[in-house]
Amino acid sequence: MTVSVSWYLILGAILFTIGVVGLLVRRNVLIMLMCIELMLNASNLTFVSFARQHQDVGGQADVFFVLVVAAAEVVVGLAIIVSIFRKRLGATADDLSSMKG
Amino acid sequence: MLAAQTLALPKISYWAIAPEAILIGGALLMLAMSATIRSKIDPVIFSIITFVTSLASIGAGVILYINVLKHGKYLAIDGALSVDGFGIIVGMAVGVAIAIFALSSEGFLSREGWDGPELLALGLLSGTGAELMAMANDLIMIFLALEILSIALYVLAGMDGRRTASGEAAIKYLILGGFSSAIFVYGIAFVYGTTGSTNLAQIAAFFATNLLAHDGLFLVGMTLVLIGFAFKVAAVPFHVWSPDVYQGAPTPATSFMASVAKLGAFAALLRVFLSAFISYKQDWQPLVFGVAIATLLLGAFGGLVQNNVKRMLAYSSISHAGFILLGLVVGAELGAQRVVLYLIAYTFIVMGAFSVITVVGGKGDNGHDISNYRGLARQHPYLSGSLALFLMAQAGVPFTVGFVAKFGVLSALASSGGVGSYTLVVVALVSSVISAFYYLRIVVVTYSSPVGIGAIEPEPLAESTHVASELESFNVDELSMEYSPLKVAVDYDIEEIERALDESPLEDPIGKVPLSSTIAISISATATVVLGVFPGILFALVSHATFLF
Repeated sequence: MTVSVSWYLILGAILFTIGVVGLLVRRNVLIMLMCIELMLNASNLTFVSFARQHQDVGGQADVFFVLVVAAAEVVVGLAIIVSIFRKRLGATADDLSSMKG
Repeated sequence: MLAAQTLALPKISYWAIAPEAILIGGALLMLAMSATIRSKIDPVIFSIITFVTSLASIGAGVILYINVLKHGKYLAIDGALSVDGFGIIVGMAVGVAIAIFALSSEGFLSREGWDGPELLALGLLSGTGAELMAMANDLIMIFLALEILSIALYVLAGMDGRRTASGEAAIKYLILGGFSSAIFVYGIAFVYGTTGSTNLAQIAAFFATNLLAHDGLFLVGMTLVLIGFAFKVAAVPFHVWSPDVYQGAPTPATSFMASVAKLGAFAALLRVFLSAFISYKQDWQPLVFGVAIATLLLGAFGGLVQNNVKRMLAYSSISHAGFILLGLVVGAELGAQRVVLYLIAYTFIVMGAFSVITVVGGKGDNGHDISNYRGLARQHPYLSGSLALFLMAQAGVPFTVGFVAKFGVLSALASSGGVGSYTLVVVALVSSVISAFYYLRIVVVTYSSPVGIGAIEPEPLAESTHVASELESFNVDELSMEYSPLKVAVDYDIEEIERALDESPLEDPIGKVPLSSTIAISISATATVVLGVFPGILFALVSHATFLF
């Protein structure tokens, strides 16, 4: 029994939507960063599903690039978050409001 | 099942990637130097290395360009890079932006006492990403180059540890940048799924021979890719990060975002939509049309209510993004050429303006309120004169390169004859007029009398007997109140005040203008005027800015 590719695509879309909604709703910067990861991994799942559909290794190779970029982004992101919130208590996006206009 | 495929490693053409490789080499050299040399290294040395590196990168670009003119365009590294006039010319513009960035950073680094090479090294790495984006011929390659560009910029935005605004800018840029990258990749996944490739040439070839029966998924992918780009170039409605990030980031980093990041992102945007997605022009053109109108109007109106000069220039760059999008609405190679022209012109005027702003910011990089510009012309006529030139150029005044750029895009749009193209031209002109208001506001402030906010304290003026006798004719207390220069002219004898000011030593927050900043400003100003008076040079150059496909 094989599972149709569409189901994987639908799962990818659900994960991506969870990531988008989470990023827009949650106010904790760490959670927001996790939501970005979720969106990137939803893209990875979509890539792999399409690669299987096309019988093409290219889509699977692309996933590695996305993974590397996601890792680099998290490393830089966490470093920035740590450097900013070292002096503060919570990592809440609402505290970041010195600039407006 | 996937058959076991052997991965054939592509042949690397080192000439094709020479401009980028040189930039990376310069960055690594500086990082290695700072790690191995024990004694403190003067930031001047790092600035010189960055400057020489960017010139070498431009030189490599020139060689590549001559080669392409002689032997024609070609694909390099298994189709990942397209070595053509468009990519090389935008890459050279990136090199110019980095060279000016290196010059204007030198004064900044010495003034702020930052002795590490990080600012310049990250600038070079980020520039590598922009040059790669201009040549990339594969959606995944564009994504990687975009991330090389962006991740370095996130760090650049947050480099100023003394101001909380800098960290805030970095977080906002990081979260929204990451969000847009994720949207971009998801879009690429759908394009890959429907066309079977991420290579722009192969996607174009696919659409040349196939017609998608159900193109819903492809349209979703294309829209997501467009949204990802719109975030990066700060087009409305995805612009909200840009004023905050511009304001919070250290000023040299802001200049980098305004020039290099836009060069790379716009180059890739044009290449993707005019080569791979050109058969879906009917579908993306209305989207870009709407985004362009919104961007033009918001860029013009948003800047009116700002009091921070960096925020004003953020809205100004949003307005420029609207103009550049007009080149995409044209939807043909002519539009791409005029966009390249606009990008070159924009590089000079925005880097020049930010070089002045970096100097005026003063120690601590805080003096970016419009009140800090009051009376600038009295103490620094060269700074205020060149700032006026750059702002006039941004407004599109004739005999500056800004006029040539706007004329180029608008004439291409008007001659394209597309639906609503004249409407768009009118909107662009109106937007240009409105945004001229806030450019002029800065210019007027620099040439107004320095009496008033900040520049002079009323108490020492009253205490100094010599000055007090001069000023007896009016109430000194009034000076501390906020008033307009016009009111001064009406109520008081302006001559008296000016004479008193000339005699009383003023605290100059700017001090001596560094030589490197003067060179940076002079280069930009010369280019702005010369290319504005002789636009034929630019038009001849961009006529070779063609795509391989």
